[in-house]
Amino acid sequence: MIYSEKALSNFLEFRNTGSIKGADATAKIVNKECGDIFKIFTKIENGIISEAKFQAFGSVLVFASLSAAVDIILGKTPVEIQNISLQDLLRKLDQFPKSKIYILKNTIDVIQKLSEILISADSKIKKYTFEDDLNKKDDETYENSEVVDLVKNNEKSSKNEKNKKLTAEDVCEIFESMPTVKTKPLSRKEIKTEILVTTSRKKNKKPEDVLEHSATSEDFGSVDEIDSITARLSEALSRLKTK
Amino acid sequence: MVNRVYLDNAASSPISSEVYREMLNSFSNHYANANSLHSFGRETSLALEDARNKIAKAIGASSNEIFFTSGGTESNNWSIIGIAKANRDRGNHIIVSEIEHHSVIEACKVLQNDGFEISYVPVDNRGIIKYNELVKLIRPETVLISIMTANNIVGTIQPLYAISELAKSNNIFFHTDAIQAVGEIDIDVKRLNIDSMSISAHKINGPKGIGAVYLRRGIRIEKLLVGGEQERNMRAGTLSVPVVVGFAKAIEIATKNMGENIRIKNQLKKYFFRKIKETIPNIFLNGHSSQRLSGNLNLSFEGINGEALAVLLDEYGVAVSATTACESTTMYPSHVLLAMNLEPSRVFSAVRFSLSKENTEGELDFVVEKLSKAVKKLRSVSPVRLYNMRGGRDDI
Repeated sequence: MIYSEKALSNFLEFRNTGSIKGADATAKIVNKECGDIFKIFTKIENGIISEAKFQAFGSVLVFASLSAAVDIILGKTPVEIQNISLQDLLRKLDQFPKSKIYILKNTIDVIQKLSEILISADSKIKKYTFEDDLNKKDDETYENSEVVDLVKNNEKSSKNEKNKKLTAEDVCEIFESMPTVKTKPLSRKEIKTEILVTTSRKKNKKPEDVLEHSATSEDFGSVDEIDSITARLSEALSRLKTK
Repeated sequence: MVNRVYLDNAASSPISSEVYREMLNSFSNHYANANSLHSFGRETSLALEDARNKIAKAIGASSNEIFFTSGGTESNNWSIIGIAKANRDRGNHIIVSEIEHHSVIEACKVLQNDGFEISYVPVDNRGIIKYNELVKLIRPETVLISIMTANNIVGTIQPLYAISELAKSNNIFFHTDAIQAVGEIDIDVKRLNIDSMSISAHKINGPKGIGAVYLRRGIRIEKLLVGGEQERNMRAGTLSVPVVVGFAKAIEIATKNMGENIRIKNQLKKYFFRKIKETIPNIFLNGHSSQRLSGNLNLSFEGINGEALAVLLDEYGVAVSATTACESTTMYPSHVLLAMNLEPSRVFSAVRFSLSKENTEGELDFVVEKLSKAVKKLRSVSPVRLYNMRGGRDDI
């Protein structure tokens, strides 16, 4: 038997298909070599993924993998879905030709991209007022901006967490990140980068993990933006690390 | 009431009742080893030689030119590797087409590691080899040309006579994989100047596990299996005589009623294709419109992956092949469709229907109904937009 019962039933009863109008995040993969094209649409409500749908042109395993993946991400937060691993999908699919494992990896990549978009979009919403301010007053310092506020919050939290035996390294990282925000005006993208860093740090993620997820995004079709974010992110992280 | 239809006869076909009866009889009578000295063995040996005669007659060979093998794969492996190695003194260059079966291509790769050079003849978008390219590929050290008689995936039939003439005039051995072509083309190995030919039983309503190689008398070939003097000391191993008997019966039936079978299958195929075109838009016919096997219909359904369609059809009770049975487990698309230079979208969405003469119009109506349902379901979730809704533009 080529496919296990689980994988096959995931295909035959594929669900959550279609598109979402006004989706908060959409990610697409085009694997030219293997002829797979698939798209996932997600909608966020109260910080969790309330709706997710997919469209696919691909083999049985593409449908099975996406059906399973959508089941997994529904009801989770964008940060939670970053942690979805190959094992989670494998558990839902059981057995299939080994050569097709790339489909599962592609699915994970799409989920990762979705979470990146959702996290950055989330920060974008927060930042709107700040950006408007930025456009109005060009030479204003960033003392009032939310980015700085965020750092200040971190400062506060780090102070609080000092009691919780925060390592010197962590504190150092947080303080080191302050000048990079203050020294020069940030473009929109740079802000996103910074937010990404702080968000992932909040979740106690190692910097290596963040880098790894970002690296996978090179498989995507139109990801210039993500690529540049990845570059900036790794730059920011290396800066943090060296200091 | 039809609830299941088998349209994958090119992968393997059901045993016909006549073959089954013949085999059943043989199973109870021919249990001795055909190489034994006693009367039981002699009887078995007689049955074996009778079968060999029938097969030789069906392809215009003499019986001492037929060697039984375990099937098409061994036939192809043995012919290519055996002839190339035994004739190495004549050269180390082999020419095969890009659309050969894997049992030929992989055999060539084995030889490549052994110091042979392999050239691949390209095909046009209908699957016919480019004759001019073949001529250009011939070198003084070319020792073997192998071009399949008819392709298993798109069913295109090659201009065999022209190729074998070219090989003969250049003093090159010519091997052809005729596994799909038996019972579809009148193959006379003498008239067609074929040096070596592979055939198999289970594509023509015979049993699995048996095939044969025709080797022109006097051709040098190295052994693949050793350790016994069976098959005139060319292939070691005790043959299953009842299975050989079944093979002989199957090939006898297939060649005897060939014209009538082709007519029936062509008629069914035309009916089927017309019905599909009427019900499903955006389909393409892959392969040649007339130079093709009568049972083969290879179609691409735009916007749908062939494998997904085949599995969904199976759920609805229709057995078809996504490109080919052996390739559907790998991640790569059919090398045949790629060699034909089709658009990627067409390559990935190809499905092969292979009809037998036992199929009925009622069965085909059932298939069209299920096919239309499956295509609609998969197209509804496809991100590929069908800009240009149209019926099949090709015709058989």
